[in-house]
Amino acid sequence: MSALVVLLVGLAAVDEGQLTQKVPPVTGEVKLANRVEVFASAALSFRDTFYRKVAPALALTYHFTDHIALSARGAYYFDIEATSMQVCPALQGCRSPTADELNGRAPGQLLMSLGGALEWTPLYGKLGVLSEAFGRVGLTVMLGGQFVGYRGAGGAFRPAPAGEAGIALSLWLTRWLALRLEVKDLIYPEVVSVAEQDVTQLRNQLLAQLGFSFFIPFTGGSAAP
Amino acid sequence: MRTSSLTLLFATALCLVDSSALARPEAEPTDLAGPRSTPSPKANQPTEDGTASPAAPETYGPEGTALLADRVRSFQAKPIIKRGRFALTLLGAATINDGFHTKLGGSATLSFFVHDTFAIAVRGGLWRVVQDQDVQVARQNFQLGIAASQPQWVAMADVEWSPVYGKFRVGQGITHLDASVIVGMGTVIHRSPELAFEAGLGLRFIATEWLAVNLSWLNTFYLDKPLVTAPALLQNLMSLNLGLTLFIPFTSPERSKS
Repeated sequence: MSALVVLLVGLAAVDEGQLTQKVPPVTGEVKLANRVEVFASAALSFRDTFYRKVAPALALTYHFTDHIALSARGAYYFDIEATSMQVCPALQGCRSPTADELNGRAPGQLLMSLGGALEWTPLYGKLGVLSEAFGRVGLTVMLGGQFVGYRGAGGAFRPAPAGEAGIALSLWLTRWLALRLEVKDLIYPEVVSVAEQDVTQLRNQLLAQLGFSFFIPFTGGSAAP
Repeated sequence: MRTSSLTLLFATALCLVDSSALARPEAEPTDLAGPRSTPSPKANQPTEDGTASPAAPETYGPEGTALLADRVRSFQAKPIIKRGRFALTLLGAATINDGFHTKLGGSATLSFFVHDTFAIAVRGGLWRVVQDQDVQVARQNFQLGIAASQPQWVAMADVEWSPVYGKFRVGQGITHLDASVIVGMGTVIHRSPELAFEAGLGLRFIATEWLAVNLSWLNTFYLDKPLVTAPALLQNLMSLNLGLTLFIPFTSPERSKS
Protein backbone atom coordinates (compact mmCIF):
# COMPACT_ATOMS: atom_id res chain seq x y z
CA MET A 1 0.00 0.00 0.00
CA SER A 2 2.84 2.34 0.85
CA ALA A 3 4.32 1.61 -2.55
CA LEU A 4 1.00 2.61 -4.14
CA VAL A 5 1.05 5.90 -2.25
CA VAL A 6 4.61 6.55 -3.40
CA LEU A 7 3.54 5.76 -6.97
CA LEU A 8 0.60 8.16 -6.79
CA VAL A 9 2.73 10.91 -5.33
CA GLY A 10 5.30 10.27 -8.06
CA LEU A 11 2.64 10.46 -10.75
CA ALA A 12 1.42 13.71 -9.28
CA ALA A 13 4.96 15.05 -9.36
CA VAL A 14 5.22 14.15 -13.05
CA ASP A 15 1.90 15.87 -13.59
CA GLU A 16 3.19 18.94 -11.81
CA GLY A 17 6.14 19.02 -14.17
CA GLN A 18 3.87 18.95 -17.19
CA LEU A 19 1.58 21.55 -15.75
CA THR A 20 4.50 23.83 -15.07
CA GLN A 21 4.93 24.07 -18.84
CA LYS A 22 1.50 25.66 -19.00
CA VAL A 23 2.49 28.76 -17.08
CA PRO A 24 2.00 31.67 -19.50
CA PRO A 25 5.26 32.78 -21.10
CA VAL A 26 6.59 36.27 -20.63
CA THR A 27 5.15 37.83 -23.74
CA GLY A 28 2.69 40.45 -24.92
CA GLU A 29 3.32 43.78 -26.51
CA VAL A 30 3.17 47.44 -25.80
CA LYS A 31 -0.13 48.71 -27.10
CA LEU A 32 -0.04 51.97 -29.01
CA ALA A 33 -3.65 52.44 -30.08
CA ASN A 34 -5.25 55.66 -28.83
CA ARG A 35 -2.06 56.85 -27.19
CA VAL A 36 -0.13 60.07 -27.74
CA GLU A 37 3.61 59.92 -28.28
CA VAL A 38 5.88 62.85 -27.52
CA PHE A 39 9.24 62.43 -29.24
CA ALA A 40 11.99 64.80 -28.09
CA SER A 41 15.18 64.36 -30.02
CA ALA A 42 18.35 65.75 -31.51
CA ALA A 43 18.98 65.47 -35.23
CA LEU A 44 22.35 65.28 -36.91
CA SER A 45 22.77 65.56 -40.65
CA PHE A 46 25.08 63.40 -42.68
CA ARG A 47 26.44 63.33 -46.23
CA ASP A 48 26.81 67.11 -46.12
CA THR A 49 28.88 69.20 -48.45
CA PHE A 50 28.94 72.76 -47.10
CA TYR A 51 27.00 72.71 -43.82
CA ARG A 52 26.55 70.13 -41.11
CA LYS A 53 23.29 70.55 -39.23
CA VAL A 54 22.49 69.91 -35.60
CA ALA A 55 18.85 70.32 -34.64
CA PRO A 56 16.67 69.95 -31.57
CA ALA A 57 13.40 68.45 -32.76
CA LEU A 58 9.99 67.69 -31.36
CA ALA A 59 7.23 65.45 -32.69
CA LEU A 60 3.73 64.87 -31.41
CA THR A 61 2.13 61.65 -32.64
CA TYR A 62 -1.34 60.23 -32.23
CA HIS A 63 -1.62 56.47 -32.69
CA PHE A 64 -4.97 55.57 -34.23
CA THR A 65 -4.18 51.86 -34.02
CA ASP A 66 -1.15 49.80 -33.03
CA HIS A 67 0.13 50.22 -36.57
CA ILE A 68 -1.07 53.58 -37.93
CA ALA A 69 -0.27 57.01 -36.55
CA LEU A 70 -0.15 60.65 -37.58
CA SER A 71 2.51 63.02 -36.35
CA ALA A 72 3.19 66.75 -36.32
CA ARG A 73 6.85 67.61 -36.14
CA GLY A 74 9.26 70.48 -36.20
CA ALA A 75 12.96 71.21 -35.90
CA TYR A 76 15.28 74.18 -35.73
CA TYR A 77 18.68 73.73 -37.36
CA PHE A 78 22.05 75.08 -36.32
CA ASP A 79 24.36 75.10 -39.33
CA ILE A 80 28.04 74.40 -38.84
CA GLU A 81 30.56 74.77 -41.65
CA ALA A 82 31.47 71.32 -42.94
CA THR A 83 35.08 70.35 -43.37
CA SER A 84 34.67 68.21 -46.44
CA MET A 85 36.14 70.90 -48.69
CA GLN A 86 39.05 73.30 -48.55
CA VAL A 87 39.23 76.76 -50.03
CA CYS A 88 42.58 77.68 -51.53
CA PRO A 89 42.86 81.46 -52.06
CA ALA A 90 45.73 82.65 -54.24
CA LEU A 91 49.06 82.89 -52.44
CA GLN A 92 47.52 81.38 -49.30
CA GLY A 93 47.40 77.89 -47.97
CA CYS A 94 44.27 75.77 -48.23
CA ARG A 95 41.89 75.94 -45.28
CA SER A 96 38.29 75.25 -44.32
CA PRO A 97 35.90 78.01 -45.49
CA THR A 98 34.62 80.53 -42.98
CA ALA A 99 30.96 81.20 -42.23
CA ASP A 100 31.11 84.54 -44.06
CA GLU A 101 32.52 82.91 -47.17
CA LEU A 102 29.77 80.31 -47.26
CA ASN A 103 26.81 82.46 -46.21
CA GLY A 104 24.47 83.02 -49.16
CA ARG A 105 26.83 81.32 -51.62
CA ALA A 106 26.71 77.70 -50.48
CA PRO A 107 23.55 75.59 -50.62
CA GLY A 108 22.17 73.47 -47.82
CA GLN A 109 21.88 76.16 -45.16
CA LEU A 110 18.73 74.74 -43.62
CA LEU A 111 17.12 76.74 -40.82
CA MET A 112 13.84 75.11 -39.84
CA SER A 113 11.27 72.51 -40.80
CA LEU A 114 7.64 72.11 -39.80
CA GLY A 115 5.15 69.53 -41.00
CA GLY A 116 3.51 66.19 -40.50
CA ALA A 117 3.94 62.54 -41.37
CA LEU A 118 1.90 59.39 -41.68
CA GLU A 119 3.52 56.56 -39.76
CA TRP A 120 3.09 52.83 -40.29
CA THR A 121 4.53 50.30 -37.87
CA PRO A 122 4.47 46.91 -39.59
CA LEU A 123 7.14 45.23 -37.46
CA TYR A 124 7.11 44.54 -33.76
CA GLY A 125 9.50 42.15 -32.10
CA LYS A 126 11.82 41.07 -29.37
CA LEU A 127 15.59 41.16 -29.36
CA GLY A 128 17.77 39.09 -27.06
CA VAL A 129 21.36 40.06 -26.28
CA LEU A 130 23.52 37.02 -25.42
CA SER A 131 20.28 35.26 -24.43
CA GLU A 132 20.33 37.29 -21.23
CA ALA A 133 18.80 40.71 -21.82
CA PHE A 134 15.63 41.15 -23.83
CA GLY A 135 14.16 44.24 -25.40
CA ARG A 136 11.05 45.02 -27.37
CA VAL A 137 11.46 46.94 -30.59
CA GLY A 138 9.24 48.32 -33.31
CA LEU A 139 10.08 49.43 -36.82
CA THR A 140 8.15 52.33 -38.31
CA VAL A 141 8.00 53.68 -41.85
CA MET A 142 7.28 57.41 -42.18
CA LEU A 143 6.07 59.44 -45.12
CA GLY A 144 5.22 63.10 -44.81
CA GLY A 145 5.23 66.66 -46.03
CA GLN A 146 6.93 69.66 -44.53
CA PHE A 147 7.65 73.31 -45.02
CA VAL A 148 11.32 74.13 -44.70
CA GLY A 149 13.10 77.43 -44.41
CA TYR A 150 16.64 77.90 -45.63
CA ARG A 151 19.08 80.71 -46.25
CA GLY A 152 19.33 81.00 -50.00
CA ALA A 153 21.16 83.08 -52.53
CA GLY A 154 22.22 86.42 -51.08
CA GLY A 155 21.57 85.24 -47.54
CA ALA A 156 17.80 85.72 -47.71
CA PHE A 157 15.38 83.44 -45.88
CA ARG A 158 13.41 81.28 -48.33
CA PRO A 159 10.55 78.90 -47.61
CA ALA A 160 9.99 75.73 -49.63
CA PRO A 161 7.72 72.68 -49.58
CA ALA A 162 9.45 69.43 -48.77
CA GLY A 163 8.80 65.73 -48.79
CA GLU A 164 10.04 63.45 -46.07
CA ALA A 165 10.59 59.70 -46.02
CA GLY A 166 12.26 57.64 -43.35
CA ILE A 167 12.30 54.75 -40.96
CA ALA A 168 12.33 54.68 -37.18
CA LEU A 169 13.41 52.05 -34.70
CA SER A 170 11.92 52.18 -31.20
CA LEU A 171 13.33 50.28 -28.27
CA TRP A 172 10.91 50.23 -25.37
CA LEU A 173 12.56 50.80 -22.02
CA THR A 174 9.31 50.81 -20.06
CA ARG A 175 5.63 50.74 -20.98
CA TRP A 176 5.66 54.52 -21.47
CA LEU A 177 9.24 55.30 -22.49
CA ALA A 178 11.16 54.30 -25.59
CA LEU A 179 14.48 55.12 -27.15
CA ARG A 180 13.84 56.03 -30.78
CA LEU A 181 16.19 56.39 -33.74
CA GLU A 182 14.95 57.92 -36.97
CA VAL A 183 16.82 58.00 -40.26
CA LYS A 184 15.16 60.09 -42.93
CA ASP A 185 15.58 62.03 -46.10
CA LEU A 186 14.18 65.56 -46.34
CA ILE A 187 13.80 66.45 -50.01
CA TYR A 188 13.13 70.00 -51.11
CA PRO A 189 13.78 72.34 -54.05
CA GLU A 190 16.42 74.93 -53.32
CA VAL A 191 17.34 78.02 -55.26
CA VAL A 192 21.13 78.04 -55.51
CA SER A 193 23.35 80.77 -56.81
CA VAL A 194 25.82 79.28 -59.26
CA ALA A 195 28.21 81.74 -60.91
CA GLU A 196 25.86 84.62 -60.06
CA GLN A 197 22.84 82.89 -61.60
CA ASP A 198 19.94 81.40 -59.63
CA VAL A 199 19.39 77.72 -60.32
CA THR A 200 16.78 75.48 -58.69
CA GLN A 201 18.18 72.18 -57.46
CA LEU A 202 16.56 69.29 -55.66
CA ARG A 203 18.31 68.78 -52.33
CA ASN A 204 18.40 65.57 -50.34
CA GLN A 205 19.02 66.29 -46.70
CA LEU A 206 19.82 63.08 -44.83
CA LEU A 207 19.21 63.18 -41.09
CA ALA A 208 19.71 60.81 -38.18
CA GLN A 209 17.55 61.65 -35.20
CA LEU A 210 17.92 60.12 -31.74
CA GLY A 211 15.73 60.78 -28.73
CA PHE A 212 13.18 59.57 -26.25
CA SER A 213 9.51 58.89 -26.83
CA PHE A 214 7.03 59.36 -24.01
CA PHE A 215 3.67 57.63 -24.35
CA ILE A 216 0.53 59.10 -22.81
CA PRO A 217 -1.37 57.63 -21.05
CA PHE A 218 1.47 55.90 -19.29
CA THR A 219 -0.23 52.50 -19.14
CA GLY A 220 -0.81 50.26 -22.14
CA GLY A 221 -0.05 46.77 -23.23
CA SER A 222 -0.48 43.29 -21.88
CA ALA A 223 2.93 42.84 -20.35
CA ALA A 224 5.77 45.00 -19.16
CA PRO A 225 8.67 45.18 -21.60
CA MET B 1 -6.02 -1.87 6.17
CA ARG B 2 -8.66 0.76 6.81
CA THR B 3 -6.00 3.20 7.94
CA SER B 4 -4.00 2.53 4.81
CA SER B 5 -7.02 3.22 2.59
CA LEU B 6 -7.61 6.50 4.34
CA THR B 7 -3.96 7.39 3.89
CA LEU B 8 -4.20 6.58 0.19
CA LEU B 9 -7.34 8.68 -0.26
CA PHE B 10 -5.75 11.56 1.62
CA ALA B 11 -2.59 11.41 -0.48
CA THR B 12 -4.59 11.25 -3.71
CA ALA B 13 -6.72 14.19 -2.66
CA LEU B 14 -3.61 16.19 -1.81
CA CYS B 15 -2.15 15.48 -5.22
CA LEU B 16 -5.34 16.52 -6.99
CA VAL B 17 -5.64 19.72 -5.01
CA ASP B 18 -2.02 20.55 -5.75
CA SER B 19 -2.39 19.77 -9.44
CA SER B 20 -5.53 21.84 -9.80
CA ALA B 21 -3.75 24.75 -8.20
CA LEU B 22 -0.92 24.44 -10.69
CA ALA B 23 -3.32 24.05 -13.56
CA ARG B 24 -4.64 27.54 -12.99
CA PRO B 25 -2.87 29.61 -15.62
CA GLU B 26 -2.64 32.64 -13.37
CA ALA B 27 -1.52 30.91 -10.20
CA GLU B 28 0.16 33.60 -8.19
CA PRO B 29 3.89 33.14 -8.18
CA THR B 30 5.84 33.62 -5.03
CA ASP B 31 6.06 37.36 -4.83
CA LEU B 32 8.79 38.75 -2.67
CA ALA B 33 8.54 42.28 -3.96
CA GLY B 34 5.05 43.08 -2.74
CA PRO B 35 1.41 42.68 -3.76
CA ARG B 36 0.21 43.08 -7.33
CA SER B 37 -2.67 42.07 -9.51
CA THR B 38 -2.32 40.16 -12.75
CA PRO B 39 -4.62 40.06 -15.76
CA SER B 40 -7.36 37.47 -15.51
CA PRO B 41 -7.09 34.71 -18.08
CA LYS B 42 -10.76 35.23 -18.85
CA ALA B 43 -10.42 38.92 -19.54
CA ASN B 44 -11.72 39.89 -22.96
CA GLN B 45 -12.94 36.36 -23.65
CA PRO B 46 -16.42 36.19 -25.14
CA THR B 47 -19.18 35.46 -22.71
CA GLU B 48 -22.07 33.14 -23.46
CA ASP B 49 -24.02 35.93 -25.18
CA GLY B 50 -21.08 36.60 -27.46
CA THR B 51 -19.95 39.89 -25.97
CA ALA B 52 -16.52 40.46 -24.58
CA SER B 53 -16.18 40.64 -20.84
CA PRO B 54 -14.40 43.71 -19.53
CA ALA B 55 -10.69 43.40 -19.07
CA ALA B 56 -9.48 42.91 -15.56
CA PRO B 57 -7.61 45.90 -14.19
CA GLU B 58 -3.90 45.48 -14.26
CA THR B 59 -1.45 47.22 -12.02
CA TYR B 60 2.27 46.98 -12.04
CA GLY B 61 4.67 48.26 -9.50
CA PRO B 62 7.78 50.19 -10.42
CA GLU B 63 9.57 46.88 -10.18
CA GLY B 64 7.34 45.39 -12.87
CA THR B 65 10.16 43.71 -14.71
CA ALA B 66 11.47 42.13 -11.55
CA LEU B 67 8.02 40.81 -10.73
CA LEU B 68 7.87 39.04 -14.04
CA ALA B 69 11.23 37.44 -13.55
CA ASP B 70 9.76 34.54 -11.61
CA ARG B 71 7.64 33.45 -14.57
CA VAL B 72 8.82 30.68 -16.81
CA ARG B 73 10.29 32.01 -20.04
CA SER B 74 9.40 30.31 -23.28
CA PHE B 75 11.91 29.85 -26.05
CA GLN B 76 11.17 28.88 -29.62
CA ALA B 77 13.52 26.80 -31.64
CA LYS B 78 15.73 28.84 -33.95
CA PRO B 79 14.63 28.39 -37.56
CA ILE B 80 18.23 28.22 -38.67
CA ILE B 81 21.46 26.81 -37.25
CA LYS B 82 24.56 28.39 -38.76
CA ARG B 83 27.30 26.50 -36.94
CA GLY B 84 29.45 24.50 -39.34
CA ARG B 85 27.97 26.11 -42.44
CA PHE B 86 29.28 28.43 -45.10
CA ALA B 87 27.46 31.57 -46.17
CA LEU B 88 27.78 33.39 -49.46
CA THR B 89 26.61 37.00 -49.23
CA LEU B 90 26.12 39.27 -52.23
CA LEU B 91 25.70 42.96 -51.43
CA GLY B 92 25.03 46.17 -53.26
CA ALA B 93 26.46 49.27 -51.56
CA ALA B 94 26.31 53.06 -51.57
CA THR B 95 28.33 55.47 -49.47
CA ILE B 96 26.51 57.82 -47.11
CA ASN B 97 29.22 60.19 -45.91
CA ASP B 98 30.48 62.04 -48.98
CA GLY B 99 28.20 64.72 -50.35
CA PHE B 100 30.45 65.56 -53.29
CA HIS B 101 30.97 62.05 -54.60
CA THR B 102 28.63 59.10 -54.32
CA LYS B 103 30.41 55.80 -54.42
CA LEU B 104 28.39 52.86 -55.67
CA GLY B 105 29.62 49.33 -55.44
CA GLY B 106 29.08 45.68 -54.79
CA SER B 107 30.78 42.94 -52.87
CA ALA B 108 30.77 39.19 -52.30
CA THR B 109 31.53 37.67 -48.90
CA LEU B 110 32.31 34.06 -48.09
CA SER B 111 31.86 33.25 -44.41
CA PHE B 112 32.31 30.16 -42.30
CA PHE B 113 30.42 29.90 -39.03
CA VAL B 114 32.75 28.43 -36.44
CA HIS B 115 29.97 28.89 -33.93
CA ASP B 116 26.35 29.85 -34.35
CA THR B 117 27.23 33.41 -33.36
CA PHE B 118 30.77 33.66 -34.67
CA ALA B 119 32.07 33.58 -38.22
CA ILE B 120 35.25 34.29 -40.14
CA ALA B 121 34.92 35.79 -43.59
CA VAL B 122 36.70 37.10 -46.65
CA ARG B 123 35.14 39.88 -48.69
CA GLY B 124 35.96 41.31 -52.07
CA GLY B 125 34.27 44.26 -53.69
CA LEU B 126 34.48 47.06 -56.22
CA TRP B 127 33.64 50.75 -56.10
CA ARG B 128 32.74 53.26 -58.77
CA VAL B 129 32.63 57.03 -58.09
CA VAL B 130 29.79 59.28 -59.25
CA GLN B 131 30.14 63.05 -59.02
CA ASP B 132 27.27 64.96 -57.36
CA GLN B 133 25.75 68.34 -58.25
CA ASP B 134 27.45 70.21 -55.40
CA VAL B 135 30.85 69.75 -57.04
CA GLN B 136 29.81 72.17 -59.78
CA VAL B 137 28.49 74.67 -57.21
CA ALA B 138 31.71 74.43 -55.24
CA ARG B 139 33.91 74.91 -58.28
CA GLN B 140 31.90 77.84 -59.61
CA ASN B 141 31.47 79.70 -56.34
CA PHE B 142 34.70 78.98 -54.50
CA GLN B 143 38.34 78.55 -55.24
CA LEU B 144 38.67 75.24 -53.58
CA GLY B 145 40.19 71.85 -53.49
CA ILE B 146 38.05 68.82 -52.86
CA ALA B 147 40.04 65.87 -51.64
CA ALA B 148 38.41 63.09 -53.61
CA SER B 149 39.60 59.55 -53.16
CA GLN B 150 38.87 57.15 -55.98
CA PRO B 151 38.78 53.64 -54.51
CA GLN B 152 38.49 50.89 -57.09
CA TRP B 153 38.70 47.57 -55.27
CA VAL B 154 38.55 46.35 -51.72
CA ALA B 155 39.61 43.01 -50.20
CA MET B 156 39.06 42.36 -46.51
CA ALA B 157 39.31 39.57 -43.95
CA ASP B 158 36.58 39.94 -41.36
CA VAL B 159 35.29 38.37 -38.20
CA GLU B 160 31.61 38.54 -37.38
CA TRP B 161 30.04 38.17 -33.97
CA SER B 162 26.27 38.03 -33.51
CA PRO B 163 25.36 38.73 -29.89
CA VAL B 164 21.81 39.84 -30.69
CA TYR B 165 19.08 37.49 -31.78
CA GLY B 166 15.47 38.46 -32.21
CA LYS B 167 12.15 37.88 -33.83
CA PHE B 168 9.64 40.20 -35.42
CA ARG B 169 5.96 39.89 -36.04
CA VAL B 170 5.27 40.63 -39.70
CA GLY B 171 1.56 40.44 -40.42
CA GLN B 172 0.52 37.05 -39.10
CA GLY B 173 4.00 35.55 -39.38
CA ILE B 174 7.21 35.67 -37.38
CA THR B 175 10.54 36.66 -38.90
CA HIS B 176 13.78 35.90 -37.09
CA LEU B 177 16.90 38.02 -37.31
CA ASP B 178 20.32 38.36 -35.85
CA ALA B 179 22.45 41.45 -35.44
CA SER B 180 26.19 41.29 -35.69
CA VAL B 181 29.34 43.29 -35.16
CA ILE B 182 31.89 43.10 -37.97
CA VAL B 183 35.56 44.02 -37.77
CA GLY B 184 38.32 43.31 -40.22
CA MET B 185 41.41 44.41 -42.05
CA GLY B 186 42.67 44.22 -45.60
CA THR B 187 43.40 46.51 -48.47
CA VAL B 188 41.74 49.22 -50.54
CA ILE B 189 43.13 49.69 -54.02
CA HIS B 190 42.91 53.07 -55.76
CA ARG B 191 46.23 54.05 -57.32
CA SER B 192 48.07 51.51 -55.21
CA PRO B 193 47.03 49.04 -52.51
CA GLU B 194 46.69 50.64 -49.09
CA LEU B 195 46.24 49.03 -45.69
CA ALA B 196 42.62 49.33 -44.60
CA PHE B 197 40.54 48.54 -41.56
CA GLU B 198 36.85 47.94 -41.34
CA ALA B 199 34.14 48.05 -38.68
CA GLY B 200 30.41 47.74 -39.00
CA LEU B 201 27.06 46.44 -37.92
CA GLY B 202 24.87 43.94 -39.74
CA LEU B 203 21.30 42.75 -39.65
CA ARG B 204 20.35 39.40 -41.11
CA PHE B 205 16.64 38.67 -41.60
CA ILE B 206 16.08 34.93 -41.88
CA ALA B 207 13.81 34.03 -44.78
CA THR B 208 14.32 30.26 -44.95
CA GLU B 209 16.83 27.78 -43.55
CA TRP B 210 19.15 28.58 -46.44
CA LEU B 211 18.32 32.18 -47.37
CA ALA B 212 18.49 35.50 -45.53
CA VAL B 213 18.22 39.20 -46.37
CA ASN B 214 21.25 41.14 -45.26
CA LEU B 215 21.46 44.83 -44.33
CA SER B 216 24.69 46.25 -43.02
CA TRP B 217 26.49 49.47 -42.25
CA LEU B 218 30.21 49.33 -42.88
CA ASN B 219 32.95 51.87 -42.40
CA THR B 220 36.19 51.12 -44.22
CA PHE B 221 39.00 53.52 -43.47
CA TYR B 222 42.37 53.78 -45.15
CA LEU B 223 45.12 56.27 -45.86
CA ASP B 224 45.01 57.91 -49.29
CA LYS B 225 48.25 59.47 -50.50
CA PRO B 226 47.46 62.29 -52.94
CA LEU B 227 49.67 62.68 -55.98
CA VAL B 228 50.81 66.22 -55.29
CA THR B 229 50.51 67.00 -51.62
CA ALA B 230 52.74 65.27 -49.15
CA PRO B 231 50.49 64.39 -46.22
CA ALA B 232 48.31 61.34 -46.57
CA LEU B 233 44.62 61.77 -45.81
CA LEU B 234 42.50 59.38 -43.80
CA GLN B 235 39.54 58.32 -45.94
CA ASN B 236 36.28 56.86 -44.71
CA LEU B 237 34.12 54.72 -46.92
CA MET B 238 30.93 54.68 -44.90
CA SER B 239 28.39 52.58 -46.72
CA LEU B 240 24.97 51.01 -46.50
CA ASN B 241 24.87 47.50 -47.93
CA LEU B 242 21.85 45.47 -48.90
CA GLY B 243 21.78 41.95 -50.30
CA LEU B 244 21.15 38.26 -49.90
CA THR B 245 22.89 35.53 -47.93
CA LEU B 246 22.88 31.93 -49.12
CA PHE B 247 23.75 29.27 -46.53
CA ILE B 248 25.65 26.18 -47.68
CA PRO B 249 24.76 23.38 -47.18
CA PHE B 250 21.10 24.21 -47.52
CA THR B 251 20.18 22.32 -44.36
CA SER B 252 22.09 22.49 -41.12
CA PRO B 253 24.27 19.46 -40.33
CA GLU B 254 23.70 20.21 -36.63
CA ARG B 255 19.94 19.89 -37.03
CA SER B 256 20.36 16.71 -39.05
CA LYS B 257 22.33 15.16 -36.17
CA SER B 258 19.59 15.97 -33.67
